[in-house]
Amino acid sequence: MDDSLHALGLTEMATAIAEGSVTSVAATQACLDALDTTGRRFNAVVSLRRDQALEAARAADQARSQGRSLGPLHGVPMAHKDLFYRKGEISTGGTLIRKDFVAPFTATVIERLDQAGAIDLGRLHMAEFAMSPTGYNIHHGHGLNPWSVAHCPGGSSSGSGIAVAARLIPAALGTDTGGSIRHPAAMCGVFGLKPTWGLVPTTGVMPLSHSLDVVGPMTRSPEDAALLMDVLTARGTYYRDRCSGSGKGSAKALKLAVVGGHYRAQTRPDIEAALVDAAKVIAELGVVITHTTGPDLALAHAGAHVLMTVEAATLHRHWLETRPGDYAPQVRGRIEPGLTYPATRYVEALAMRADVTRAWLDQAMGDADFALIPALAQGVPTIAETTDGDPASVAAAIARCTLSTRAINYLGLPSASILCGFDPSGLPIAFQLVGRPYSEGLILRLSALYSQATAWNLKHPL
Amino acid sequence: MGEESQQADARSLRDAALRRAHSHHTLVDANSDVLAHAADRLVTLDSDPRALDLWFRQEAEAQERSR
Repeated sequence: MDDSLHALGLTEMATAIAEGSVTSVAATQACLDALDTTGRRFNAVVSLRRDQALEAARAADQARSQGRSLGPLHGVPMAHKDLFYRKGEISTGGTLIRKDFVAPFTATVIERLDQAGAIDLGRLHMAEFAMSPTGYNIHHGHGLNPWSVAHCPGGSSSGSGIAVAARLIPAALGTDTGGSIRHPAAMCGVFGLKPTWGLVPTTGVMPLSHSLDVVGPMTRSPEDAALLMDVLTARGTYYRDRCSGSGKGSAKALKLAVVGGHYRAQTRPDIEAALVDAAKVIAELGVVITHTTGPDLALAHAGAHVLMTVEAATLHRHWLETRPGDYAPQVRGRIEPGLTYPATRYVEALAMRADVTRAWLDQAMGDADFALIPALAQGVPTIAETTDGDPASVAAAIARCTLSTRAINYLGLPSASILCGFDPSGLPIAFQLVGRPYSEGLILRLSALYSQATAWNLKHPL
Repeated sequence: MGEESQQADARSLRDAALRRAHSHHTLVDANSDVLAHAADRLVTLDSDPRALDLWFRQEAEAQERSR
């Protein structure tokens, strides 16, 4: 196995293949081998497309030798959460119920990656039906955090977080309904971007909750996420343009609101200190810092719960009745409440969403461009505390993961999880940078400036 | 398996189902109260369940026009 190739970042690998210093076959082989060995050790892998990937890599190398470019991801290997459909191939959704489900068509985002020249290596571990923030899956086994195997890798895009953090692949796609990109990004210490609801197509992605689901990139750096966002949204170089040219002075027109209230009341002291340090670094970049009091999130949390559980229960009702034993009790127990909400509560949750979002933007951000809040206020939980013991304690440990993430999905806003340090146990600490609708370009720009200034994202577990 | 053992298993399953149902109803009731109180203030005859979608679409179109 070539140790150096699978450790390259996305932009770095794309450039090396485009320039001819690395072949797509060599990069693909290195990533496949890394997934097949280290990836399986951390339970990050569900299935590999070894033959198809190597065939596509050979075609990419041949195209290059003929002077043809396939696109910005020409010959670059990636793997994705196991809910992105490819026509004719099994997509398990992390479940027993769909273990033999053959996708009838290919996800739009996978088609866009294909068109950009990317090589699809296979599918990665995820929580059953994307329904857990920890990486819990009784059918495939728990995903393991490469920084500490006793701790959760985060979910539901667990395999994506593990594989990118462990430098097995340069990037992966995830999905986020209540934090499922940001949890594994925060727990594994990679960059994760939850885009504005509706920006990236979700067609051909196993749904959990149509009103909340989004697709987004998980990468080593904001620059790599910008490249992926350009491909996912078919927007040329829009996001890369906004991410690049980021000298120290270029952040001076920006304003960041550091949000207190709910977001900080439950934050662990060492995580609070890391967030204060992150805000100081951002201020040194020339960004104007303001301090706001976050609004009470009870309504946004309630709204997120009713939308997610009612929509999920609607999709799952038949299986909940006919195959209840094929769900993990923890997963079934999180979907079932959706069967009992009155329909009027569901419509109210939708009808109030715009008002609640405007109120949150006014109160938490004011005239700022971004809000800084924790990603995980209580840090990375252990697998034991989120799976063993009395059900109330387990439920409380799981709920702590979503304290700062779930409401953002109800609001529909874009948010990135950015590594900003490590706790005394050596586990990652991250903050969220939340923006206004469709402000991903600005989020990527400030994230890139922050990452360049701190280099936290260059640290890796293996 | 003896009859007593089967009865014990059935009791255990029933108790677990009851505990789950109680837990669901407690959570659903609490969230429903929060939503209903807010709806008294925010939901009117003119409220549109698609409001966030429409707002975001306008934002997206404005951004496309400015590119």
